[in-house]
Amino acid sequence: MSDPRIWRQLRRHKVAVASMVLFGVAAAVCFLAPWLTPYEFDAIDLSRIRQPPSRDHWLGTDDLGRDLWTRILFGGQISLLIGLISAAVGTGVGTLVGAVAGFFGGRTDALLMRLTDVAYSIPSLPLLIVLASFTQSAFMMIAVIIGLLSWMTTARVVRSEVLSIREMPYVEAARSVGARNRRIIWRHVLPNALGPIVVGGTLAVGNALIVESSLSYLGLGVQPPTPTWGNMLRDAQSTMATEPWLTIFPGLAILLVVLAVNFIGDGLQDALDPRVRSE
Amino acid sequence: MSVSTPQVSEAPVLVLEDLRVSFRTDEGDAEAVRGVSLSLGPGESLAIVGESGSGKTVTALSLLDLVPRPVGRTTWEALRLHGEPLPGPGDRGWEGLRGRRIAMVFQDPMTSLNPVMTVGDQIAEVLVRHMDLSRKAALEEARNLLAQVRIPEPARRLADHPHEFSGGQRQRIMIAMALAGAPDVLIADEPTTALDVTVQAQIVGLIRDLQRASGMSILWITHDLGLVAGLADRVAVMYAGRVVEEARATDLFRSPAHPYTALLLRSAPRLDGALERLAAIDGQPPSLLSLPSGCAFADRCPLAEARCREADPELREVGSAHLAACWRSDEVARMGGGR
Repeated sequence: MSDPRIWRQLRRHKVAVASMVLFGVAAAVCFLAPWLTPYEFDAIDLSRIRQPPSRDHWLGTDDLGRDLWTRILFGGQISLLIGLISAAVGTGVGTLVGAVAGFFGGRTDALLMRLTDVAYSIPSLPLLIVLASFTQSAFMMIAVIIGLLSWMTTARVVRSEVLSIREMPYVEAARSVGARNRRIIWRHVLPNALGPIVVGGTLAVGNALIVESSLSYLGLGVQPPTPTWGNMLRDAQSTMATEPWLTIFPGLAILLVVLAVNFIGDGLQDALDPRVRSE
Repeated sequence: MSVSTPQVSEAPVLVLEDLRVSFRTDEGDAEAVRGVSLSLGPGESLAIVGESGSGKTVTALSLLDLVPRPVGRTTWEALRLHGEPLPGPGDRGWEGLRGRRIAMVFQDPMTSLNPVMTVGDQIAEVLVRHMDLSRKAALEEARNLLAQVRIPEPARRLADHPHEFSGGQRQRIMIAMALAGAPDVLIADEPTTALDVTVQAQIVGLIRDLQRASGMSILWITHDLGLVAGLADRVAVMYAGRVVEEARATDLFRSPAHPYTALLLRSAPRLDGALERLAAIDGQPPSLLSLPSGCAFADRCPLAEARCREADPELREVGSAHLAACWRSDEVARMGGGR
């Protein structure tokens, strides 16, 4: 990332730049929430329940009279952190497992890939219920758990990339000048597999937001009254027809963030590949 | 006969005895190398010549223990560098030797450099690994190496990626990487086959100049007899995993003692005016999965007779520092084809 040419190329990717701005603004707004809204996220006002957007309540209020704008900002803090942390955990574990399996092959590969198959085939629901009972729904733990439930796809993708990269002549050339396995994986193999890793990572951010909301639905996610975009969406589903703003705005927030992260990933993928960069 | 030709007796730098490599395939074991012995004198150029599948590249890879395991099985009787035994196949200790004592330049410069790393970092990596330099000092030294292999504006080009260089330049960079550890032995595995003809001569000339400057020994791996004539002191001809003839380059070209060498010479175009039809060697090399019990070349050999199919001839002395593995090497001269 130290190479200034990476930034130069990234800046050329207009959509990615716009997405980075959007993501930056969204994150800033969420984390500056206490200064951007006069309300508390859990301040119940039963005299003003289910109000449509108005001057006092920009995005309306929910069925307990809580200000939706405030809840989206505070919920965003948690949702964004869960998204980023779990994507980092999932992508990190998946990349490690995939790289080791693909690079060393043989029994190591067989063992790790069967482990991956097993992890895939374990229904995540019972596992989540067990895990959640130990974690008291601390959002950090939830982020890590979501990450640990989603590394398998990355592991498979990275493994197949590494399987072909390790046969490249430059890997043999690196070996011929005395590079050790760890260095070959770190400097020669993984940088060449970065494209799919980055794409997988950005997709994982969006996925984590969704998984968090389904966890909330089961009462295993972040507990009320603390808002997340996921649990706000879930709470709104019974009133979708009568108070559509309760569904639309959290949904829009998820949509925008997921889109932005995907575009950023797209731009990064191009910027990190020097062959694309020069053209 | 040239007097300055280095002799094997000069306390060799590298000695390899009885290398055997086989590869596991679905149809059985393919014997890629069947008992190759080599020795390389100080500052000497030895060329291993052979067609595809003759085992020449596998022989080269074995010298760095780079034959993939467990698909390939490698054994050797002895492998010594300056008299000291090197680690056995698969043993620990190879990583410190590769690029430091023995280095290799590969066939295809287009794919032998890491596309996402700057060439400066790739050369510096070797220097940090073997020469105990800081990254900063290593980059400085990498610049010197680029200058040595005649890359223009070396300081500026350190930060460029491989795709910003031409094929010939990339091969120069590969050579710079191989030289970074100041190796005793350089293995050049067909370093010019992927390049334009005009660039080939430059690369060969560069390696020769660098050899003269550093006194390293070079093992050339090639299928190009024309190239060999200009650059090798000695030549070993390989066929189906064995050395079938080994001699000083001048002797080999003047009086080949193995029918395969003679036919190879006849199938190469000559530039000295004599316009003849190029002679192809009929037939195919035998399958390495089921080699005949006799001489592997017998089926294609115009001199083959009954005993050739019964017993495989050993490599034996047929002249001064001239070895050939043929029952009828005395009669090869009458085939014609020498130069």
